[in-house]
Amino acid sequence: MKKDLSSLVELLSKGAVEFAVVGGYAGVVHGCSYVTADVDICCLFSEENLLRLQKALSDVHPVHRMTPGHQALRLTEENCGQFKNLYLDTDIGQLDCLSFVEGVGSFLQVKESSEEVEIGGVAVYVLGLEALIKAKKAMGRPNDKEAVLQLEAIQKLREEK
Amino acid sequence: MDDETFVADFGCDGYTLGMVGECEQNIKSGAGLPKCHGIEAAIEHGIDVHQLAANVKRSVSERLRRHQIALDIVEKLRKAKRL
Repeated sequence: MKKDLSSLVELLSKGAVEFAVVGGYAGVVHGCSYVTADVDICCLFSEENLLRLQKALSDVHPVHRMTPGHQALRLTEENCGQFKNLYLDTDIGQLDCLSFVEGVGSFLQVKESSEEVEIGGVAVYVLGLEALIKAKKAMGRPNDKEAVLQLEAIQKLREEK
Repeated sequence: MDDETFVADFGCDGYTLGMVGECEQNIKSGAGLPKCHGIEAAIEHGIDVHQLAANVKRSVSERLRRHQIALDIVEKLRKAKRL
């Protein structure tokens, strides 16, 4: 199956998962011109929300991307609490699930800094431009520096609109 | 969408072969763009701010549709071992 990142986001939204899109895909939503091959989300790492996430992704066969042999995602009430992040691969693209975003904070703080955007007919929280710039600056990797330049230019262009 | 249409539609994005000359002119001159630090810094870094300006005018759906097209091309190139 080919990568389809907006469908991945739609699945989470339709599955009532509490999340916000962050990272490179959030940059694309805001108008960045680079290509990103995955979706990063910040989500509530409660047992209920993680089990909803697992159910939402069940048709696209999520696996742990960083484990040897790419083990299937098998969250239970007992093991949910051990995860702070999930790095997944699915049939339709990679999904990184973070409990915390550097420069912004935990999910609740990320959600407060997010705006509701329609993606594929569903309302989705996406980290706002200012917070996304803070997050990218906090990461400080070369790709993030380029993203910051694009996002700051977009910020200025929006002000001029 | 065939390659020619994609190139004409997307302009210069690093993954297509056409319109490099026009893109370079736009990038270097910053013609038609507001003069301010954020934009000038992006231009100096070689970012096509005209493309960003065009994206800002588009809907979120359109931005994501174009991104999906670009991603499909990147994946094809990767599979063809061009990247």
